[in-house]
Amino acid sequence: MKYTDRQLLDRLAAQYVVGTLRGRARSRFERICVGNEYAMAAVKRWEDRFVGMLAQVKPVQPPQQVWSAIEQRLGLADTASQGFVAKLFGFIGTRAGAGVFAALAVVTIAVGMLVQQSLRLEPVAVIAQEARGELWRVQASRNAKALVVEATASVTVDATHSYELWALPSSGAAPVSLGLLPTRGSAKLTLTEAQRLALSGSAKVAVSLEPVGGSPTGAPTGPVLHVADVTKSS
Amino acid sequence: MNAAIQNPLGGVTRAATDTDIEALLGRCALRDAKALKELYGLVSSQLFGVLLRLLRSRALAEEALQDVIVRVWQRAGQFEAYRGRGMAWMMSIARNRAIDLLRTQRQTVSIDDSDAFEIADESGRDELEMSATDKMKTALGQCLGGLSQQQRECITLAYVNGYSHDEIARSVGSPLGTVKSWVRRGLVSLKKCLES
Repeated sequence: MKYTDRQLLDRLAAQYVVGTLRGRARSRFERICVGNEYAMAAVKRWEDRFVGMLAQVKPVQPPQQVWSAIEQRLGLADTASQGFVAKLFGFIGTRAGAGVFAALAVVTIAVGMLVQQSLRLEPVAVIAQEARGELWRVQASRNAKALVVEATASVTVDATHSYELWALPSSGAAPVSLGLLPTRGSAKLTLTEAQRLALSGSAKVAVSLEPVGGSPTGAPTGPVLHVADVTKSS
Repeated sequence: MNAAIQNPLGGVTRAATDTDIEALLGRCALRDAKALKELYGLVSSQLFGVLLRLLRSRALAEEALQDVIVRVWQRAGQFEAYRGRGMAWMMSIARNRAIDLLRTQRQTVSIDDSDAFEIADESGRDELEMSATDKMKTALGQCLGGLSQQQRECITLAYVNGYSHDEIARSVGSPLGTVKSWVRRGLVSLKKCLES
């Protein structure tokens, strides 16, 4: 069989989506799709054509244990109900917490003053896309009170949107906004204590597309465009 | 935007739109567990209904629903795959998972004497009735209405009930070769109609 034949690919895609392509033929077609944009697009087209038929199938409420099992499998059980920031403020709210927080604040301010003199920058993340290369280089001042973000020439300027940077806490808590990214040149994003803590507890950052001025809700509202690893400083 | 989404475990309160779904998937890509819970509240009943219909077993459908949601969470970063078609994307994950499970199950269970099969057959008839009444509402409905009755029945049994060619042949009482050609020609006519 010649899989370069578009008509054949389209017929296979239709049988695949309708479900009559089974067994080894099904697995073979799935493998073809991986490297074949035309086949993948044909599958999407047939899926979009047919999905309306499923709206007529009567919805059935699944039993509660299904959700519990999903939470367990994904390790979300604790983080879903209480965000990282909420937990942090809960801790600060206690008397011991307030003491620790005050002490921490003094220490970080002292360290901050020392380091500010040298103003060295440390890499935080490089946001890149395979097709377009590096887009933004994110660095932090040594005291992590501010991020310095530099946009490369590959960033697309979009007058109707802003690019927003998010810390993704490893705890699974909700993303924390770190500010808006520049589309040209570089910008300094001053971090609050909460943002700094969120970033230090994150292994990844993400960029979402938001209305001009950033997300109106405090959570990402637009599509997520990029996710990048946070460089661990020594 | 998400104001109308209620307690995730309290059931579906309104039809999920692709825009809602896409926004929640975007937050899932950011590892926002609350977004997954909202998404689950929005779509789990529809997914579970479809999985039950395809798998004809509650236990299997529950297992499949878990797998589907786990996969959705893991693949939420593939924005291109679901942009503008969140529900179609999740349904395709659900149907593919169900078809995989059906395949492994068939290797161990003989379907000839399955009671579940008969039950599914009956509900399949309701489905055909419903798709007939839906006929005038959508382009797909109209194009399905333009197929021969046999073509329409075979395609519906395959897509909605998850029947293989063999199972369709048994259900409608026609030879396998005839059923295969009904499906094939039905799909060609559907494509022509939908693209016109």
